Amino acid sequence: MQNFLKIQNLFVSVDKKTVVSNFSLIVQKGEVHVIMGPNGSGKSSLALALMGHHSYQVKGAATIGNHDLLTLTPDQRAKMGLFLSFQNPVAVQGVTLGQLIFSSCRSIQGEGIDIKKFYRQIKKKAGLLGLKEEILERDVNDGFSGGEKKKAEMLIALCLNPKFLIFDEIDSGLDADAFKKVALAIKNLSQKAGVILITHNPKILKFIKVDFVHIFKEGEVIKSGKSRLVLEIEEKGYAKI
Amino acid sequence: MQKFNGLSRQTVKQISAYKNEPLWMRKKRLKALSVFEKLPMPLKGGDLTGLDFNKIHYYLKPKEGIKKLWKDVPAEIKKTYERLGIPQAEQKFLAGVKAQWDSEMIYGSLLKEIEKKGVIFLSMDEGLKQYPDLVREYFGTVVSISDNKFAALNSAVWSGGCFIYVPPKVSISLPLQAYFRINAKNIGQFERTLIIADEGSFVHYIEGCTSPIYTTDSLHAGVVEIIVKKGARVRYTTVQNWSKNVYNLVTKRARVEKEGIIEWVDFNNGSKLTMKYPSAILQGKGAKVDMLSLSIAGAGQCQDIGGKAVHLASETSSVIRSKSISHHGGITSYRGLVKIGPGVSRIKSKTVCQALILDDKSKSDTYPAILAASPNCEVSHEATVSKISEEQIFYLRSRGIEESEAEIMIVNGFIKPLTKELPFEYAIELNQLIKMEMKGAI
Repeated sequence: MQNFLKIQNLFVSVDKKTVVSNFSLIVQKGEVHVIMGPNGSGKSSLALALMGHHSYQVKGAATIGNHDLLTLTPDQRAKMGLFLSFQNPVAVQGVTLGQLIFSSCRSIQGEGIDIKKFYRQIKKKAGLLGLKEEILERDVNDGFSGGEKKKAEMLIALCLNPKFLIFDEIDSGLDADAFKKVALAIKNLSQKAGVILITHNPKILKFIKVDFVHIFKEGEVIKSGKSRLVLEIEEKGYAKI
Repeated sequence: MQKFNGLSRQTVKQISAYKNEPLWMRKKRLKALSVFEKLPMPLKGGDLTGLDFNKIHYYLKPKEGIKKLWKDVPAEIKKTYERLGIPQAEQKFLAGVKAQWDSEMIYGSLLKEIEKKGVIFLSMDEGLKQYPDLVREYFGTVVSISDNKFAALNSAVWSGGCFIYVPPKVSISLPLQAYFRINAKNIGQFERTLIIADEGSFVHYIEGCTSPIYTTDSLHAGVVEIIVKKGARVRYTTVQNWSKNVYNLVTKRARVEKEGIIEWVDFNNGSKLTMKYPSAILQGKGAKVDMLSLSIAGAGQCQDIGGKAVHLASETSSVIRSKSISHHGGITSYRGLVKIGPGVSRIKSKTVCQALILDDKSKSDTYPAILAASPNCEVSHEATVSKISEEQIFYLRSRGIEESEAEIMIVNGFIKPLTKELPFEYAIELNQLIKMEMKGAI
């Protein structure tokens, strides 16, 4: 039952302005859905609203198994296995990245985590992403470079083991090496989880097998298809779709 | 129970006679009393109208005074002790039920070490008895009896507190802790502490504890005087959590000679009103002061906290970092003074105030003053007021962390610069305490 993230007829508005209209999507574990669309088309609003951001009003339904996400608080949604990788994650002064990851894991997976083992694993994962160990001692996103922020988001995703992940432009602003590392991490995650990938970059398809592509424009999905839809966009641009 | 109620020459004479003090101390007390009577109440710093000097016990003989019964301690205080996980013997001590604190067993080896090095570490009463000349030489030289109304009051009726002398070049590795060393009278209302760090010495002194100190009396007016001699360094750490009926009005000051360093680390929680501005008179060339304070004010509380640095010599420097948290309608204020005397040069002074306000009912103010009588000094002051950002909370919650936990993480992050400076066990206790304050459990 928990193998599906179902979003049905979702409307999202902010300050009485509708930013997402009648959005429906079913994501199965193991699937990768790409959402593309011009800037300002409502992609980030959709992601934040699904995570339960306080600025958005939502109507419709979003469920994981029997659980109605829309009635849950953000932390409860995370506990249901939903994860959002933020496009611009905020800095949290005084809270180190290591502390955040530890608190998150303890909150989601329960008490009884072996701290030593836990830190060994995080450090290993950080290494795979090309992050220095010291980053765990730094305050979350405080003074992080653009690339470090994205990688830190990915590191958290890798540690929390979520069922469904939404990546909001995790691939933007990365150099070629980092891009590859992050793409491979998504690929690994997608073997066990369902992924929604918001991106502007068709190159990511070289690394990840994409099941569905949805074109988002002015808050609505105007077209859905298989991965070759990406090529069409590359050719024609959004305007002609 | 013999109590000296009300304030009169007779009371002061009785206190002095009871303690068998030398004549000069008795005269000093009486002079201080007449100064107290003449001085006006402070105009700034908080509302003192609820304070009735006639309703205060000016002295409790230690033995009789402490015959308080455990069953008379309010349930709220007992509950707090339990939540903090404090053993019952210690709970009774903190509540003033138990007179003696048996510390010899735990701290015996430290005490032996310091005695061997010639360090004097006694209660102020005992210090006066054993080293009257040393006390006489320094007592009242940093905080004079006419400094302010409450310093005068303290000088007239003081009891308890600590007396420390560290000989030249002696460095004490472990902090000296008043709380474990001296019995309950030390946390009395009018404690008087005098620390003399001789040339090139180092000592770290810690007073207080994170547990709320329960007292039925509503005034705490302490005086702390520190003399930092040439090249010496003193760190004075206060961790205080008074019960919420207390007016906590403390005068703390250090006189720092050439190349000496005074470090004030000050944590203030509880009390109805706290007015406290640790100060440093930088008297010798190259003297330094570093102040770090944190205050927390909840419902019905006011923390009027600050720091004063008086630069009287060249190449002196001061750093004042003040942090405050106000919640549930509490008020925190920073009141600071940086004063630079005439004819000095190459002065550096930096003040940073950061206030965190947790809800719309709470408040924070800043009253800095800079008085410079010499030109070309590097003086800076910055103040920030912030609220816990909803975006930060949302971010932490999106990681599975509950709202209340997220808030605590952010607040603990805010106070980290202070907890980092505290011995480990205090830091842990402090984080725990804040968790309870935030949940409104205290």
